[in-house]
Amino acid sequence: MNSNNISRRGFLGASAVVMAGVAGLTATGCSAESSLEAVDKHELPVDPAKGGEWISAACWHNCGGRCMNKVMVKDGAVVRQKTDDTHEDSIEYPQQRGCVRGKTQQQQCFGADRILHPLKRKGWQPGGGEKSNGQMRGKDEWEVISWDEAIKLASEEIKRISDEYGPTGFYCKANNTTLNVLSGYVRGWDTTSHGTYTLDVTKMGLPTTDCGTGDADTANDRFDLENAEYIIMWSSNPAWSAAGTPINYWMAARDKGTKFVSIDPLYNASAQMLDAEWVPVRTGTDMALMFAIAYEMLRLDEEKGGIIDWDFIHKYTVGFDSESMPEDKTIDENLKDYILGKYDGTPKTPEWAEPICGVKPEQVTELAQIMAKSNKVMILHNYGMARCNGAEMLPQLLIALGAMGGHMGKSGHATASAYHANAGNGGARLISAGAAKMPKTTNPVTTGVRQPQMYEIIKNGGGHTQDVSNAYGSFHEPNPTELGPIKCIYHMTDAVLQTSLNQKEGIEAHRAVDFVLTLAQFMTTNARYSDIILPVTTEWERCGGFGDYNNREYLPFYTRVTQPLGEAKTDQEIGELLIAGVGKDPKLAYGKTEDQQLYEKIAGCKVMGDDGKMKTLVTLTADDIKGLNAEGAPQEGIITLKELKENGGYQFPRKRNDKHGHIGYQKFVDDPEANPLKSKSGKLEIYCQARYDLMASFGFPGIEQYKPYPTYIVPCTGYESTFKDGKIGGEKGEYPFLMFNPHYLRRSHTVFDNCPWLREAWANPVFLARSDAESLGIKDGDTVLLSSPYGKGLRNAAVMDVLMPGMVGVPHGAWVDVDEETGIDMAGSDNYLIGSEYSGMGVSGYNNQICNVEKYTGAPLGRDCDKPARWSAN
Amino acid sequence: MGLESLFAFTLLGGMAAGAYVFETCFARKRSGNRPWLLPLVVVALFAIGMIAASTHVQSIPRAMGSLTSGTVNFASGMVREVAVSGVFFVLALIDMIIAFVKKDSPFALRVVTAVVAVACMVLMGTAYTDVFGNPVWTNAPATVLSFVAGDLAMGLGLCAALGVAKLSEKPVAYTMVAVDVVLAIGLALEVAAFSAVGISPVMQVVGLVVAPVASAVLTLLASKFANKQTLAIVVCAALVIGVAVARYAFYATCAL
Amino acid sequence: MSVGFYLDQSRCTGCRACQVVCKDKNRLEVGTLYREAHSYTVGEFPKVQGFSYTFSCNHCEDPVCLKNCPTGAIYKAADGTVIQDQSKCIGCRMCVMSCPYGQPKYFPEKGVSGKCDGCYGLRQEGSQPACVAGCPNRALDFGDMDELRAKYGSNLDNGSIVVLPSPEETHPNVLIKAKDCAFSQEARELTW
Repeated sequence: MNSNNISRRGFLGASAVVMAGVAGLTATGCSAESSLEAVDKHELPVDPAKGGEWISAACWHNCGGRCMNKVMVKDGAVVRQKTDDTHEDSIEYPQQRGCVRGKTQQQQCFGADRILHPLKRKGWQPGGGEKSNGQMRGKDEWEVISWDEAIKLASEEIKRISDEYGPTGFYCKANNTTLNVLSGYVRGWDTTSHGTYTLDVTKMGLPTTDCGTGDADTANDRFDLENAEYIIMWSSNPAWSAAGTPINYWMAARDKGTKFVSIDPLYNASAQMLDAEWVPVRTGTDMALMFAIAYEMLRLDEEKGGIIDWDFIHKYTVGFDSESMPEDKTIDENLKDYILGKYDGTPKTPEWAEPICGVKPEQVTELAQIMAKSNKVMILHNYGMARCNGAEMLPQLLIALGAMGGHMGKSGHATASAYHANAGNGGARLISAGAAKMPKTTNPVTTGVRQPQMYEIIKNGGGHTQDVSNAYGSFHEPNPTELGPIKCIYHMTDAVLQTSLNQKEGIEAHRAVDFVLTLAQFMTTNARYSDIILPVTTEWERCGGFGDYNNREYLPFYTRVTQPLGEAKTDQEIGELLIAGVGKDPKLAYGKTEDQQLYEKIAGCKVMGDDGKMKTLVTLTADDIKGLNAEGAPQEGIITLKELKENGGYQFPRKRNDKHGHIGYQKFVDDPEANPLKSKSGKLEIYCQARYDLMASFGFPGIEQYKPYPTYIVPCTGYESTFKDGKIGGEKGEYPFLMFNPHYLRRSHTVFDNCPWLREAWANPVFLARSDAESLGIKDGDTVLLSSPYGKGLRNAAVMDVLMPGMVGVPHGAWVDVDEETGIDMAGSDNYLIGSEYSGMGVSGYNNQICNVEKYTGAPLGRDCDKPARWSAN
Repeated sequence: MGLESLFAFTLLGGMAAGAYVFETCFARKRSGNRPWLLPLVVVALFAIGMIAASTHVQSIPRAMGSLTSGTVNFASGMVREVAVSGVFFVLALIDMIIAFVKKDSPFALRVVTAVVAVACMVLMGTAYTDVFGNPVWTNAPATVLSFVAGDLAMGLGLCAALGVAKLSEKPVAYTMVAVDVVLAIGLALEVAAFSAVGISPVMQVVGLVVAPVASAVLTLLASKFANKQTLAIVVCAALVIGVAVARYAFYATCAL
Repeated sequence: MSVGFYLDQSRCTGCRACQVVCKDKNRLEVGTLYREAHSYTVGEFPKVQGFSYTFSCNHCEDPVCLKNCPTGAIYKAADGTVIQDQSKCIGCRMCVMSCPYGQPKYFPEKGVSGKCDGCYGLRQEGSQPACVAGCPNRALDFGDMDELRAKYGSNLDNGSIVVLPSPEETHPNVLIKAKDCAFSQEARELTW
């Protein structure tokens, strides 16, 4: 945004030149002081919110926050929003301030591009086959239909498909109560958010996805960050991925003298703000760097000692060296000997690693010295590096590195994740929401298909699948399954067509089925490729709720901001209509009003007491319960319902050195016999037979490369693939760049992409390294064509010095916008450029795909914020 | 560009003020068939300029309102420019009416009006020198010299074209050349100011060549031209075109 | 009395929360910003440093917008806040052109300009300016300049970091806990 007055002014470097002589002419006259008189002749500004009522509104997204958000609506219009100002702000008791996205929430709920009536695609008719005219999905026109008609059409089509194909005739990515009763459906699974950490890391002794809760939380509580001498932020950018309060904990540590190191292909916003030392690493090659650091630690320890905590290794881990192998091992190999090159003749030295990961040997040595046992080090990782092809064994290698320095179980040390709302703040929940008791529903289908392969199966009218999972992060022995045709795709609460790999094939799959039914608030990617869209309310249009999955200290509570807009209905209302429509009883899924459910959630809220036990939070009188339109018994708590509403929830007051601190692994480290981990050996399994055996049983392609302990694997797609013959250092191939998808502050995954203020604030360019841009003749702001083996996209270039050369950053989550004539995506969708290739244990490689970059010779793209909304209520 | 209205105002109004000054200098007594001609042209040009300027303001009622409510700000260069312009216009109008009725008007009135005209041209320039958002405009020597000398030059050219001052006469010729030199200095300073902020000064160079350089050369060679009237018109045209080009580019540096 | 903003560059990540909350408070459409955050880097890969700055009205000691406003629509409140009374604006855009920081903005559909008023109305009700209250990193503050200096120390920049014009023109009331790299002539915008 160029707000300067001069029309081609670059930098505001030079000051105005005013020659002394002539300046006298302009300096005469009244000074500002004398215009104080003017104050009397003006009406001073007032607060437009004065006299209005602030409503605690939901901020409910998958954003890494869930903060306090309040809105004032007067005469049907939003006056403004605000965030937490319910108490004085301090680092001990911080206000739960929201991020840039939460402030735009009003453009979501009250957006001019809301879908407010049921829509039917003009070219679609029920009955299947050619009647569905599937090829027109995404390009067709829409007509408004009534709810009655929408439910009738949908129900009849669902019944028809149910009768002919059974429950496996339907697909929905995510678990859904309504669909469990309505028809059943084949599930999709993917390693998505946590990457390789979803592949049952409990077998190696980590908590599920390395995001433990309570005692199992491997990260320390936030006050302990200040006790670390070094915090190594590995693949971590809390300023963007956990925007809101968490980054303040890192700053508090910085202000107490903690030093930071950031290992990332990008010198990201958090690292810049903290003045972290940057270790630029190629995306997807973190394991090579880890091997080299371990090698250096071994070498330095051998040469001068004092680096490796051998006691820790032998007491708390298995598989690091031949002395400490697990009982259930099937091969006699250990990590240390692998690193030293005893098995393949290649010691994993920094010089070995450099061509792969790009990190200079001096920096590797420096990292090895930092991670020595004598330093108080926290290795806090996020999951970008885990969402890479070939990252399968990364969790075991990272825990090995941490264990080598003994960085677990004591103050100032950690080897843990810094994920989402709990970033930087591990420990037992001090406040939790209640749950409404609902009927238990089960999906009659247990089959899950690996998400990128789902689209192939749909297109092929069915096929073979190795069913190994039907829930996120949970795996079982493979169940080879032959699936029949899938004729209907449901989108209920997911954004899967946008957030899953292999998007181009996903669009084709959507065009291949008989019926696509979507609940949506906007013309999202899912909605766009549907047949019937049912308008669903936002959380602002519902009776209220809790922002659970939040940080351990704060539970947001929100209430209704407005009645449902247009004809939008809640998920439950829609579910009940659909279930009734197919002739089943909605009570099988619901059976309680949403008001009643809210009351039960409020009643069940618990807060940590002084005695270390959770106790009831909210006092509810008979009048309160009546006012909630519910039935129940009054109860005593520590705050009133009124306080809960006005304060937008409850925040547990913390102090340094209160008894609610937490150190990850402390119980295990203090007494491993009495407090074994969940692995077979009870220890951290660097060599983990059980995890390997389960994953190997899937029989996925490429598994033969893997061993039960970490070894370097050339990924099916990754840095090596950018070379013509797959050999690093050779001639570059057709797709010489490595692409990754940073989480981006315009959006929370895909949410908010349509909000005008955010489109203006965050332009969503493609990140290019300056030397690459220069050699391609690309200047900052030029339109650039990105191409991969799977698709093409356009973005404007952001040329930067903070990105490693050879890397390309395509921000995650933009809603695909395919130009049907050229097949090129105009919106920069990350997944449109990624295919379905995978190998090993099934990690989806969002972050190490290959692509080519060239200056676009067609019309310049223009700014996203200048483009019209893709849907208008008219 | 968004500032066309101000461009028209300072070009036409400045030229009118400059012409008035030089008529006062070189025509002690008005004579001939149409002694009211130059005053009429001055008033007409200035009126058109003022109407153009008024379109820059989005609410004339509010502008008037600031006078009646007493918040009007006399520290503002724009208010000073408008105030003095108003005074000049009224005086020039009175002068024109008297000249129409009585064939001439009191010299004292003309001198006072000419002094106000000078103030008007200066204030037209200084209205820009504290617009800190534009480092080309705030270069006071470049701006004030270009405005004042430009207005004077165009004004003298207009006088010559209307036959009120003769370029073949030495005092007029020397005045024209002197004003051209000052204008050339002002435009050269503008070239430097433009270049200093990375904007192409090509228009100022064109203006410099077409206005002061051409007019000075033609004036010095006036004896070589048989048709003095044509020469005067050509000199006037060169000055107006040259100053207009440079002044348009001056306004165009403001991204409005 | 003078009031102004304080920015701690060691806390600002250029997240644009302040920019958007200001649009919310002032009901600004896309295309008009009273506050805008930008990020910059100094140096070449891999030796790079970064800083961010959030530009806003500086409620200058000698505001040229006030000086050049013909109708006196721009005035100083008793506490020093520079406020524009939009009901007296004639849309001449002198303020827009005059401000070396490019702060007042013109609204062509309305025929008037507008600017940050330091959330004067909010402050009368005891709240902080929206940008200050809305910054998740607590990088911003606002208040009496002497009190800010007492609170944050004397080693603060008064608006001479490289991305700002010289403070000698209008004497902005801004206090910046500046990062060293914010003074580098080599700073380039990071347009991510």
